[in-house]
Amino acid sequence: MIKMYDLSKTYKGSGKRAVDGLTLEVNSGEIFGFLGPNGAGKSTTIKMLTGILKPDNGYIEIDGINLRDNPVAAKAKMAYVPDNHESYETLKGIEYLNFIGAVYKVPKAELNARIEKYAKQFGIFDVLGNLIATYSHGMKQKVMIVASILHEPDVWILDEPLTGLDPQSAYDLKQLMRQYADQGKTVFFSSHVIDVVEKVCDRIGIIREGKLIVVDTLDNIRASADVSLEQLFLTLTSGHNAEQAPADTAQSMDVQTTDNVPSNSSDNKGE
Amino acid sequence: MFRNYFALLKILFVQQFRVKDSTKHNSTGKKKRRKLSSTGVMYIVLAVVFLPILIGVAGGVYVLGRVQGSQNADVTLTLLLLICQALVTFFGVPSVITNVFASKDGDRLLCLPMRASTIFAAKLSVVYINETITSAITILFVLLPFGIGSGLGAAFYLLLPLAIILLPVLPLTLASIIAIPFAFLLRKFSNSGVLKVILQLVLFLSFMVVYMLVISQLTGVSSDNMQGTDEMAMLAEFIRQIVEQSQHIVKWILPDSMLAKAMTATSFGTSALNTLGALGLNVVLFGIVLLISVPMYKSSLIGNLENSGRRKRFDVAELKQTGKSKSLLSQLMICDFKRTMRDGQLGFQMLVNVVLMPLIIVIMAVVFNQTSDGALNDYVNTQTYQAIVALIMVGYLGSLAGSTNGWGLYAISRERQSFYLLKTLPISVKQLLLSKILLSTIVLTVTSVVAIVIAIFMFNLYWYWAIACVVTMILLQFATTCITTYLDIRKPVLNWTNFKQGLSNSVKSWVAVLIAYAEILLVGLFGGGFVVLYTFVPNIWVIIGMWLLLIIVSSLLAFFAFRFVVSKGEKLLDKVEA
Repeated sequence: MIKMYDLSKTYKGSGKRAVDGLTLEVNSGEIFGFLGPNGAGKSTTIKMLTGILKPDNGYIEIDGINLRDNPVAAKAKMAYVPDNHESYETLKGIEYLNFIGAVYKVPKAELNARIEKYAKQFGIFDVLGNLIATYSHGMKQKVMIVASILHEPDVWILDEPLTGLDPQSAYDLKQLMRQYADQGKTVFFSSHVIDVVEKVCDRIGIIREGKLIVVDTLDNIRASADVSLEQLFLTLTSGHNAEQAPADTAQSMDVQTTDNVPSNSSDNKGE
Repeated sequence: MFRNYFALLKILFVQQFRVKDSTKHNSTGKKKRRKLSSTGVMYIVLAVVFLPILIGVAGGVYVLGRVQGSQNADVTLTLLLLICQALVTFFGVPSVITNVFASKDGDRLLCLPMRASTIFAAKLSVVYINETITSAITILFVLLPFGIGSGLGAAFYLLLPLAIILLPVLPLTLASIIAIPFAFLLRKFSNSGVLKVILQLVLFLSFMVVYMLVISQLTGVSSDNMQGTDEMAMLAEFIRQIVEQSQHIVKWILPDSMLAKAMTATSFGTSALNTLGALGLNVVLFGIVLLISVPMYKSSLIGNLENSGRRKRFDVAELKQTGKSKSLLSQLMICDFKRTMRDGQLGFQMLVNVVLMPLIIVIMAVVFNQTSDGALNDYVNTQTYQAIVALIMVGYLGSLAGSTNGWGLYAISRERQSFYLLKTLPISVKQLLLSKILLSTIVLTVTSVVAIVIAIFMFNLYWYWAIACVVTMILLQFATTCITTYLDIRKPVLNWTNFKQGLSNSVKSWVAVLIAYAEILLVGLFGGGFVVLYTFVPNIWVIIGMWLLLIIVSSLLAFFAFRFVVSKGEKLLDKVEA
């Protein structure tokens, strides 16, 4: 489970808040799709969630563990697939996977079994002996995905994970995400590909200009608003109904906004 | 072509000066004023420490000029130019390798409508312009005082700006030419990043050794005629012998000898002719470099980008063999070491600095043996000699480790963008810092042991004092690495693509040199006092006590330095934001 309460972040030199008062809970057993236009605050939110950035306000809990108070324990519960793979390129694939296995304290026998299983599933087992720098973009993405699931995390955070994947691998990843959620784990997934989000996610959130403007299940969206997710997204984020605030637009479509989402949050622990 | 050249040159320079540290700054009001004043204090301290040394060098060269006079000054000036060029070469060769042959932007440039020759010329120009700064400093503190002391004419002063411009040309030309066949060889070994780095290092060290041998041949003189005379007469004789010995050789180093003749000429015609000659020769040299190296450069660049690596299929048997159970700490260190050594820029820079230690011992030993003429043979078996040699080893090598050790100074910066991924992993700051500091200490220990073993043979150091040296050095190096790592985590630079420009010219490099001086002072104070005591109380327990005290002090330094860096680390690394 992920709990984010009243998160805010302003970058140095910028007067504008990249993330402004974001409150969100993602439950165990669900795939949560996080959408937003470019510059909306998606990456900033994910970076705060994964410990790369420190929020100016608010707090984050991963399975009940506060990320600020106990970062190591919180990070041990989760895994992150970044959108940028320019890391560890001078390691061989197997070296990187062994390193991640050691970081997450995966026993050697299990680590070997999982490396073999997932690397073969994604078609990169044969090239694990080569430097990551020699891999194609898609192969680097697959290494990151395999590395992220070696310790079978309770919370799986993926940032644009399908970019560069071939159709088979994209399908396998979606199946894996579904499997994870069905096992009671949490999957938090950000993407620009709305079709995929529509097929895969149980609930979605849309962020615009640092604020979460919609959080709802896809079933509700389909049933109530009689619009596709794509239409909803474009309407809310492109300002077609400029005279209406996004929340009003969403309400007119009978879609839940952050104003009327039932809150499960505990008492305020803001900084 | 020139439009592309200047456009690329501009971009390369803009990138260089925009590489900033990656911390979140809170630069308003009181904090900004405090930051500015602490930076100002640091620059003042650096000036106070380094200026006397530079002034001392300038003073020495001035006296040399006074004794030399203006007769045959062109020969001495040529030698001084060669020595200055040695400095430029020392900084310039690694710069050529990292900026030109191991740069990280090849894939972006090759797809542009721009010739490889244009890219090569622009990159080499960046190196050249950076080296003119080194050239200007050496000329200011070496050539200018000589000219004043020798009483040289107007030609000397008028041609000083030209000397600044021309000084780096010969070293960079030689560096580029030598790098070409080696670039071909390096591509053969592109499968192994480590072997590639070692080859680059061998190239660099061979080049420096040959350069130093040439200079020592030209300046090596006999001390036979210098006994029983006053110092100025000895210096005059020394200069006379050097001029006599070297004039037949230096006249063939045409770019330098023609420039020297132009600067020391008394007639306008001679000066002008030699100036044109020097200028023309340097232009021809640069042109030869472009002609020879450009065809090789493009294929070398493509070869780096192809970077085939191993093509062997990975199998299950290999999976079982790899990554045998290792602790997190050892995995952190092993991966860090492999990544650094396999990086074309990092590996070379990290290795050259630590290989210098044993090399300098060898050079010191050779110079010592040549100049002492066996005068100290009667003293090598005395405990005083043993203690002094051992203390010099510890102080000097320990300080080198502090000032040139990239493993500590760029502990976080060398991670580059990987650092952000590291932040998402369940690794505590303490574990991360310990892995960095331990790795640095282990690398330094290996080179320290090699250096001390050389000292045992070349300086007749006793093995048991050598062990005391090594133990003290390990502890001091651990403490120094903690401090240099702290300097890096205060202001890590993660967005560099060019090591020389992004990292090695930073202020923290100079602060590390200050720390090195502090270390020499510490060893000198503690050890020196005991050596003096031993002369009055010649008991072996005095020397033993000296080493015990040094080891205890070093241990305490190491302990508290580590606690300090860990206590500051968490808050500081929190400020590093993507």
